[in-house]
Amino acid sequence: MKKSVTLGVVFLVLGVVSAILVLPMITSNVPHELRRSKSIRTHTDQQEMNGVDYLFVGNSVIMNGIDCRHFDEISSTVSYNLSSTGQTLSESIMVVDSVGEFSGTIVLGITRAFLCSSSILTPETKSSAYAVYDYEMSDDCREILTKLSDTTFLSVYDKPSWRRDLDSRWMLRGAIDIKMRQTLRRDIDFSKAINDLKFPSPYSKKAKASLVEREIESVFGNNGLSAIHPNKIEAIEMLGKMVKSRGGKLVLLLQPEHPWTEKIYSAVEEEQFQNSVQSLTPQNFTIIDTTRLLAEDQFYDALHPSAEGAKLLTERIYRQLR
Amino acid sequence: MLFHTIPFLVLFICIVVGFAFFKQSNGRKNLLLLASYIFYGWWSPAFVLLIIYSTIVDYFIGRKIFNSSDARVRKKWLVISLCANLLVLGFFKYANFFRDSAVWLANQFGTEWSYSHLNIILPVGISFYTFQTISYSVDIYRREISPAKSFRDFALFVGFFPQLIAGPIVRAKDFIPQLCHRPSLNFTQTNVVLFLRGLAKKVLIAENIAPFVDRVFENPEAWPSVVIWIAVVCFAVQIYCDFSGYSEMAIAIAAMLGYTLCRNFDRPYFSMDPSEFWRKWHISLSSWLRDYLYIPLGGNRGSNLFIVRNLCITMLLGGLWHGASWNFILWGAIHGVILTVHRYYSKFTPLSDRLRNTWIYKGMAMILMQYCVLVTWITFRIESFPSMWVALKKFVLFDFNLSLGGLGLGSMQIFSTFSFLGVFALLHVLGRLGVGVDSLMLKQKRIGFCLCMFFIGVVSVFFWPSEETPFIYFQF
Repeated sequence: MKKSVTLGVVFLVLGVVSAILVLPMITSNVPHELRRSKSIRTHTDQQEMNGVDYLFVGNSVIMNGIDCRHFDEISSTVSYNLSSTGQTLSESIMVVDSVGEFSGTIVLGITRAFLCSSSILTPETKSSAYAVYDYEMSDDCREILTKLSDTTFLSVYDKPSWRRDLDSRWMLRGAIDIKMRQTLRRDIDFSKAINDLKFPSPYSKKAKASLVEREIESVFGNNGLSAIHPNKIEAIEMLGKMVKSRGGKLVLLLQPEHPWTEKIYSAVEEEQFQNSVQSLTPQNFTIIDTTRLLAEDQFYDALHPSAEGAKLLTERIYRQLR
Repeated sequence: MLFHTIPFLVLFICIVVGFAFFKQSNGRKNLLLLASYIFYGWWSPAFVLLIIYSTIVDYFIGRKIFNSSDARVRKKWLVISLCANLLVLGFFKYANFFRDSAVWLANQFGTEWSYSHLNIILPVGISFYTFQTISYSVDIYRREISPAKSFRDFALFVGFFPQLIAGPIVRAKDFIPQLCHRPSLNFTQTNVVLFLRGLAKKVLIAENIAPFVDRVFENPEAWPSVVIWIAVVCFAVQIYCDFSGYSEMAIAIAAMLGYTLCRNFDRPYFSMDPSEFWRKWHISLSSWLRDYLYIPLGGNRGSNLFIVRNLCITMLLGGLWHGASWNFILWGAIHGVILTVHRYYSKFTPLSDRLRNTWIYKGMAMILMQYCVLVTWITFRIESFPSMWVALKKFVLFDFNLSLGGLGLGSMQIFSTFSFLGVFALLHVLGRLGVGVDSLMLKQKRIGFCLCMFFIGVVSVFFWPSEETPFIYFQF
């Protein structure tokens, strides 16, 4: 009996050790909602970026809103859409950092919420995914994230690599969720959403008006989004400087908002925000404001532009950039 | 210090190594006592003094009670013991609660009392070891046991680390006689498997379900009935796995050290009536309440109204034991009502035994009982009465809004939560049918057993939660 117990405990420990050893291999390959970040990483090496003129980064609004195929056609340039679902400003900075030397233009899509809030922490799970997918953090990038006070991101990268590998185990659980989500959300082409670096546009289902209203209330309501937080602008200036030093240019794109958000913001808040934008005198980036560009029928839901909206947005950006 | 942490592993290894050096009973018991105080002091060294205070008071009072032949004197010492214990418990756990409630009540009558909240830290496990020491004094008073032979033995009974923080609440008559024997290491397959079963329940099931539950109950107003239902079921599984898992780990560790602790759970979610539920849920507490509160109040003797009174007082105080908050009292009160209704339904219903033994009756009884249990879990989980009311309404008055779109699907890990729930349900039913994973493991030959352990090691790493969720019963 004692021998069985001893052997059993030995095998238990062996199981634990084996799992820890194979974990990095598994987590970097399991299907996961953050797989797009891995897809982006595999394309941001130097060779892939040669000859690319424009890069777009940001969240799912950019995924649905910027059609790089159409952009390439009208501009006769080469562009990539490196946005991903829920991409925070910190994540966008990591993506830009991973590009390295780049002589083209980087368009950073940003929401009013990001600009006006004091700090937005990237969830630890997302931060650890970047570590699993081999995103490195340069000193410049670290400085910018410190300015943004994204302590979660920084703390993940401060951990030793074995600890990061171990912490990535949450992705196994995430794989169950994404697989079920893929089964239920037939309206979302997950493969395209993960792998398409031109026009991923994961959302294509028109939502009911009542749902749009509820979503707008929950996303935009009670946020007090009127004044741009100076920290954010300083961080974007630092990013612009970093991009400049690597040969490129940075453009800050204020993303389109559903027109019904006008009912959420008071007139004072709206005026305050517009004044904030007007009063910006950026040294290291330029601004394109598309906040009120799209009409309500040019959105699929509370956040995401429709195909028509994407065309309009893409063309507007091209006209402003040329 | 939790059982599934590195510091505890180190402490346990030190105990095992220490047993190799200390062959005599006294040496080993001293080592266990020291380890127990280190275990408790890991959380807060200062509160070790509180346990020592309870130990000293009740040890000497126990001897006074035993040595006196005058019933009045014995009663006097018992009252002193009860006051000494309950005052300490009352101060640390209920001082702010009673004060806040009194001020609130006074303010309803127009007074404008203002006060500053006392900054009192609740010592972990105080409810558990206080009840243990009370039972010791009462059992001596009732002449059911003799006092512990030595102060060290009594101190070990009070502070024995496996059950110190969260039970099972051990009775002196069950534990102290075991101290006559030399503690010895007892690493059997049964004990190891029991520990792993508890660990899996607490860490792999309860802690992985917790984030979904927390997210929904943070703001129950935002969710439709179907989500509230799912969250309540998840919470029922979470609290069961959290607490029974911890109890099983405690029992296994005690067994590895040569001591037997009582079982604390017996698959309560298969209960068909409230009496059965309370015979199977937190058995050590419910039996304590029965023996030291319900029966002394009069128990089942007397008029119907008298029995109802006894039931309700017992359940109200049982609820209050769980926490210094009105929602716990409400939880206890609802269970009191359920017990009362069941008592009179059983007494007056004309159903025959033959009918009661049919599968249909048993199935319906089980469903009804568990529905009631789920309702009470809402009051247990949500402290704020407005939010509790919203959740209760949505649970009881189903709104038939089956839209899960608001969940954002993947973002709340709902499918993986269902997976853990499904695994728990399957294993729980298999266990009830006598073919649980643990019993199958124990029947395996050596190689089969080892492969099972290997698999458990792998699964534990893969699904160990990223964030530690506090053990629910620590707050009690």
